[in-house]
Amino acid sequence: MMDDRPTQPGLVKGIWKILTLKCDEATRLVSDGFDRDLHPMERIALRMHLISCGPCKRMRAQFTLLNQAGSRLAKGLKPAPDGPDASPDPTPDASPNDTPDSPPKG
Amino acid sequence: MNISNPSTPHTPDPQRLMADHAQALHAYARQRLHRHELCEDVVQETLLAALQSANTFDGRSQQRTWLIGILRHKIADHFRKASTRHEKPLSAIGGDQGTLGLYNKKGRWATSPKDWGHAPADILEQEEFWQAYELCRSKLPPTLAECYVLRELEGTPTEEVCKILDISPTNLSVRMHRARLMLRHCLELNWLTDES
Repeated sequence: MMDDRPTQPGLVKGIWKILTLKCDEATRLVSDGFDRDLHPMERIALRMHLISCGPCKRMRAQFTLLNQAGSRLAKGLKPAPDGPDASPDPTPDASPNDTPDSPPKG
Repeated sequence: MNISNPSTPHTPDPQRLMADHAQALHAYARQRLHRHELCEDVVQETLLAALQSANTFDGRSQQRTWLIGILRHKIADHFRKASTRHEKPLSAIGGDQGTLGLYNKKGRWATSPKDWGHAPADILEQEEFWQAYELCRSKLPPTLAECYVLRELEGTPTEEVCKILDISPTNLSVRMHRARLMLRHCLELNWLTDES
């Protein structure tokens, strides 16, 4: 009945991770989740952490939003400067990149 | 006789190509590269390549789509050439600065991230959000910007990004994490301020 395979080193480590995941590691995993498949242990650890950690949950929502913004740009759904409400002027030099109301630093 | 495409499909007129697409291509490049001259270079290279390889345009895709495809390659090429091309020690990618002092030594929140307070769908419709997004993205340090743009704005597969920039998956992971942290921190400063 006992599994006769040697204990996988990843298992202990994985369980340890589940029990001790910290916020910086959690957000890193959230971030990784957009770029690769998380290991099941990582996924469990992250899920457990997020249950009890509001700030990390918020962070996940914000990373997700950034990701959505990125994929909108990727799909060309947000063709920035010449949107429908921008005045249709053909000079490419007049890029509206100088945001009027943002002082450099407070 | 079945002439399906009224405009001669295989030999685009250079003038026409410029007039029809230069601005859109420029806008596309502008979202990804922040130096104006660089955008112009990349767009010119794209149009040139388009004219040279006009025979590969089969008319099935939109001309614009085809051009954007070329442009994306040009942008990836740029990053490939400009890549810092080495495994910087992670401390060099911002060090503690990289995580913006968000965490304390124990890895817990030192300053809790603010609630952005809107439904994501609403936020993505806000012009102010996109302005701030543009601003913040252009402020990312080059090491982070190159992989962020390739990965998130271009949707390049992760392994491909590692190859283009010649970095390890771990290095990419750190860069992406920091890029995201910086971006959202900057957004908090530049976009959320008018409210609250």
